[in-house]
Amino acid sequence: MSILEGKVAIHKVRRAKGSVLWLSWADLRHEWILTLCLITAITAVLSPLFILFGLKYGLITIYTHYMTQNPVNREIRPLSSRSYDKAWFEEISRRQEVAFVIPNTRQLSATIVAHVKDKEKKEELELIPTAEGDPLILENGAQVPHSGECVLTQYAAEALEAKIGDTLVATASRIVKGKYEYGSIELRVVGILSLRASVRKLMYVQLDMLEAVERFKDGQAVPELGWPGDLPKAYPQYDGLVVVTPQRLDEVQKRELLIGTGFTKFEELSNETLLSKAGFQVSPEMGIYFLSTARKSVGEESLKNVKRKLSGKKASLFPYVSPIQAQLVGPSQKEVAPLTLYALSVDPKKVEEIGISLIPRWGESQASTDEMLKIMLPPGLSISEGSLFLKVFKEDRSLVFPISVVSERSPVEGMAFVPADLAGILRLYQSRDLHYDESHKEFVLARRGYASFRMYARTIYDVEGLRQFFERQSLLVQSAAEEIRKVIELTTYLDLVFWLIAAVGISGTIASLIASLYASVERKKRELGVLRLIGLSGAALFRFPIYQGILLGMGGFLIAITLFEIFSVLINSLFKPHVERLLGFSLSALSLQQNLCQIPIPYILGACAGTILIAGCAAMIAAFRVNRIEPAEALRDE
Amino acid sequence: MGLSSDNLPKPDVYRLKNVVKKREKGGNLFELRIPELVIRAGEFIALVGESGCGKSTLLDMLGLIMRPTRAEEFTVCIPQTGVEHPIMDLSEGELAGIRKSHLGYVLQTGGLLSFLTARENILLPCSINGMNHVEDHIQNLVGRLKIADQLSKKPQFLSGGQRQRVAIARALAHRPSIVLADEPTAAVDKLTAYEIRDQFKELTRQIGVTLLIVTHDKYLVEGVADRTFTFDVHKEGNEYTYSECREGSWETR
Repeated sequence: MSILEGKVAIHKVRRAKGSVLWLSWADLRHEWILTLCLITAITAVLSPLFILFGLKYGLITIYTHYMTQNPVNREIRPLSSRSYDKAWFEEISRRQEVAFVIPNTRQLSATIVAHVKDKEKKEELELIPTAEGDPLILENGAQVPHSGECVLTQYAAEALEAKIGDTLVATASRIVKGKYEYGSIELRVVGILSLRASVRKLMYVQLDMLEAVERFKDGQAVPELGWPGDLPKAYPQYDGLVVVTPQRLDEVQKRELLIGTGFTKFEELSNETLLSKAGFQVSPEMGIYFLSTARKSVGEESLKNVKRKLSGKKASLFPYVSPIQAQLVGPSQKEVAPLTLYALSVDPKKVEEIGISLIPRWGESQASTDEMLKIMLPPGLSISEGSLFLKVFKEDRSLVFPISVVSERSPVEGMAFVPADLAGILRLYQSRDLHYDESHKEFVLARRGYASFRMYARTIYDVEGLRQFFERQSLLVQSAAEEIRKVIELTTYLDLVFWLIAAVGISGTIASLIASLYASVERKKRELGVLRLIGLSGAALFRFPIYQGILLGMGGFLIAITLFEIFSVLINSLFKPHVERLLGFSLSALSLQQNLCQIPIPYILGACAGTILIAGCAAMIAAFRVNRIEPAEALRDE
Repeated sequence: MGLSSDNLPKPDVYRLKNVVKKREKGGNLFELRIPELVIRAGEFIALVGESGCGKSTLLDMLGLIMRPTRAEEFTVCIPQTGVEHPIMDLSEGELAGIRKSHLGYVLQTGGLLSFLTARENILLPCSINGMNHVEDHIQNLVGRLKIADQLSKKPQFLSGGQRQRVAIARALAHRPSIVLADEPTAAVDKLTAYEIRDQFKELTRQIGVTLLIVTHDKYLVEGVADRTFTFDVHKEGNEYTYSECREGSWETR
């Protein structure tokens, strides 16, 4: 070879290649057969692990997504019959785990018969209440119906031969005095839910529509829809009863009055006490007694019982209500004065007998509600012309009704008097919601509570928490909690099994790597000694087997991941249609970009890092052996 | 680099005084004693003796890969830097540093790395020292050693003589001040051995290194080496052998 050619040959070595990494690589490449064996050993362990993990991940993700996607799996239905009031719903809807909750009536209490307008086919449908944000409707491809609209389930739509945009006529019916009565309303179909929402024939409407149907079936009127019926009227409740008799009662009679009347306490009052308590006095020789209850209030039934027990004794009964705070309000809501209301109604015939100090002009009882809306104002209160109202507060609500002022004033400072019946109704207001119906001039009871509810948890993982929350309140609910729990358990088990298998496999590989690298260091004692001789530091040589371990690990990893990719492409294309049939839906319909066998990139990167780490650590043991090589002993074959 | 003429006084490279190395092998104690040893820069030193006399042990100590058991003085002075290193006080890391930059080794069986080509083997000391632009120097070396056309081959494809010459090239590649060769011609035929010896001498004279050769063949170095050291071995019983190093040829006992 000429000198020129030699020069070129040297020039081919451009950069100084002295790094330990390069030396490790050159050594591995030189012994390529052995290197390939070691890489194969690593690949043999990693490939099945990747495939296992990919399958596990893919399957679990698909199934979990399937479970979470269907809102039915997040539904919670009460099993116990109870009454849920507005306060309960407000509190529940504030909970983080609750995505949607709406009151519902008793099952089958709100059914209607529907038919498409101008068509013949009729079908009985159950009404289900809905509101903004209802997951069942929104996630099944429809919009929430507003007033005058409805959403049908698929079977309901098929039975009615209805489509979106059609107008339905919904009719509620009831039997009154042996005759059928009907109430109808027109609703426009704005959505039809897919089959997975429900297999029953249901119609989803706003809650007030549902309540209207329920009230109609209860016999009540629904003025908003023009449906006839009665009004649920308010009734009086009392806290106690003042009994005034000319003759004193004996012990037996006193005890009699507490039996079967609803009253639990009996007191004898002095005239002075009576004045401060009830605002009036009677003749001094009268026997004055006060019946009361511990906590509950009593109704007219109790009064009638007492009256019956006292028949023939010429007793006068004065229903008693604990003083009620109210506000006198002028026209245009202007507040006039605060008042304390006391009940007082007197039978005009008995006035002489008992010598009562105060005689309100409204008599003992009133024929209509209109007539009980009267008030005797306390002295010293000036009022102007115009209509007046009385406002009674309760928590964040109030009851307002018109009141007319009688010309007489109350003789007692700070006391205003109203008829006992009115006071009794105001007492009822403390426990039941009322409102004053202007058109009918009646105090009307508001809805007491709801028998059921529809609820959806935010995610399937919240279902169990909610179920336990209700259980603590002795409320049994039905949910997919059991199935969800099984999915979560399955996930955990599969994870556990996977990691067990992985641990076994990886341990084997580590042992094999350690053995191979250690043996390799022993074999190369001489050459490593030479490197030490020509001046490579101990720290540099320490890295030699570590780099080799990492390179082997990387090689094994790359081949394993390539094999996995091939395998997963095969699996995914071969088995996808079978899986879809098994789960009963199309994966693309869920807009799910999920393969049956797949490992997401972050996991792959993690596995790569793990491989490097483990290979490096396994090599460390061989590396420590390197450090113990003395250059001198390595060079001599001793 | 080199020394200009023979007339200038040459600085000491090695200064040993009362150096002792004890080695134990299978119940036998072997003791090597070096009362005094001074080697000057640029000298061609031969360590001659029969096998087991401790010549290799001495070479190892001079090559900084083995520590003496005890020493009154053991100093290495590198001509290029002028720094004096008291070997007994240095750590392994520091010794490795001196070996890396200033020493070159030719081992009995070459000591080439089997996974590197001849070229890569030769360039290794340069790479380790981070030296660039060594092409001309290496070119000269491989040309003189007649191995320029063997550079792409791995050691397993070279003959014994070729391997030895590659080892020599590697020992000189990074221009060390001191080259140590342990029986460099033991594995080759006589003709090749003398060839190698001559090339060795020529090169070291050119570059001006201090050359230390260990050999059992006194004829190889007779008349060629500047100075010769030999070893007097005494056996006392079966368990104790000691050897003393002195200047002079083997025959002048």
